[in-house]
Amino acid sequence: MPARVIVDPDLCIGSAECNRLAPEAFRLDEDLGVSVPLPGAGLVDRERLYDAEAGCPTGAITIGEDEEEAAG
Amino acid sequence: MTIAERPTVVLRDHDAIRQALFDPNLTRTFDSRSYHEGNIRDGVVSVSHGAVHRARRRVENSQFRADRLRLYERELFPAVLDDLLGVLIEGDTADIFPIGELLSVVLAARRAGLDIDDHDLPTLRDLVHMVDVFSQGSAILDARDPDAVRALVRQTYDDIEARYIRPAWERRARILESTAGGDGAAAEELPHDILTVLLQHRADPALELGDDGRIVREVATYLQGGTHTSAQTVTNAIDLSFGLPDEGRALIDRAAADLALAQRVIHETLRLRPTTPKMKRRALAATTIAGVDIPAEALVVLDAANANRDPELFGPDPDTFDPDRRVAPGVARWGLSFGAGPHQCPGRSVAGGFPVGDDLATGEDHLYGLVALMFQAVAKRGPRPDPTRSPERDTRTERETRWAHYPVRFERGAPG
Repeated sequence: MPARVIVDPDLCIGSAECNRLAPEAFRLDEDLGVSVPLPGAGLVDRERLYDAEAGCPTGAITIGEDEEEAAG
Repeated sequence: MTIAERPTVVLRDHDAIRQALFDPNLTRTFDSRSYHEGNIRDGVVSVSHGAVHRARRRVENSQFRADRLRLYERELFPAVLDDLLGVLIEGDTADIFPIGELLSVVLAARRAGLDIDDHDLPTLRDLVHMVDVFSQGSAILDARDPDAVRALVRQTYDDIEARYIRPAWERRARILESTAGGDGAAAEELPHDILTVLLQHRADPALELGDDGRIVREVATYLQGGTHTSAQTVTNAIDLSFGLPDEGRALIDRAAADLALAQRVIHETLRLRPTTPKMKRRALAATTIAGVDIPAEALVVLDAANANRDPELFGPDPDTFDPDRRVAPGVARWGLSFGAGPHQCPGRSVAGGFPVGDDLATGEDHLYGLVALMFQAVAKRGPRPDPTRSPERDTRTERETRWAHYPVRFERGAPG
């Protein structure tokens, strides 16, 4: 089952750690200076998504199950 | 309420400190009187909080993307090492700390946005002198004579603005004006640095950059941050290596041939000798961290030096300098020395490279960090303690990890 991948744009500081840890799942929006999930991010290996979640310096990333409402 | 009057809470546990570093109720802004009115670091990103801090980091982090870091590490810095080390090391002796500063300041100046000639030693020495002053300012809470430091830092802001920042500013302003007027070719000339992005985004009120002085201080902060810590770390790495059996000969020789090991030497050095051994925060509101209740206005001391020696995370001999040690999964080899959370050091990957995993493997995209490159370049010359001159600590600060001079003797000349 695909994961639900959320980046809170109010918390993100554009460190690009998620992009380094899981480049298939996140990209930097250089205009806004924040990360955004790529289409299909939920299908990326779950461990890599959790690494990105844990590596985010501001806790802006939430990885949840697709059908549940992940907490912001 | 002054810092001395605040209730103090000390956190020593790794996870508790990490939690504190993520807690939005804790700020690096200590009090509005001394940190805003006349504060020598007024408005710089490192002491800003909340929305302003996030907005500033979003803009400035663009200068720390992986493609920029690869350019620094694989092209620009090796050239600096090649060009400058041969000039700075005369004969078979050298003072490692000032050499580390001179090497580091070249790219730090470029990243901050100063237009300097990389080979102009008098200019590099002038900048290093300024960095030294700003470093005293950044450690003001541990300064032996804070008033003297404040006066010196203010004078040095004026000097760096007049001699370096204002000319660079005017050049960038002209290019930005041409770009805004539709000159596509001008956009190609726009440098990639902190000063440029601050000027580009200055009109955004979220950045709070209306005051020119804030831009000067911000640029100076990046110059200092990219220079002083790197030079101190490479010096501490040499010092810790010399403390090993046979004055670290085996480790130094291995690192000379193995950049991944040189990187682990730097990470282990940072773990044992963090630049800021005790981070400090102020509680904006009451909060609870790892079961510890923290009242509003408390001073919260985060003892990173202690947490970095937790045997549960770093093994049964955490006080030993062992770059080959295994650490607990998910724990950084440098411990908490780069901080964590929103204020995590923006230059972490520039200086320390990418984290090394449990298996110590490094892939094709891995970056080792500029300090590892510096350490390896020195290691290739076979450094040994200088029997005729002792290292000297920087006595202007209470921080035990800072050096003023570190003489060494080389067994080998420049590698061919």
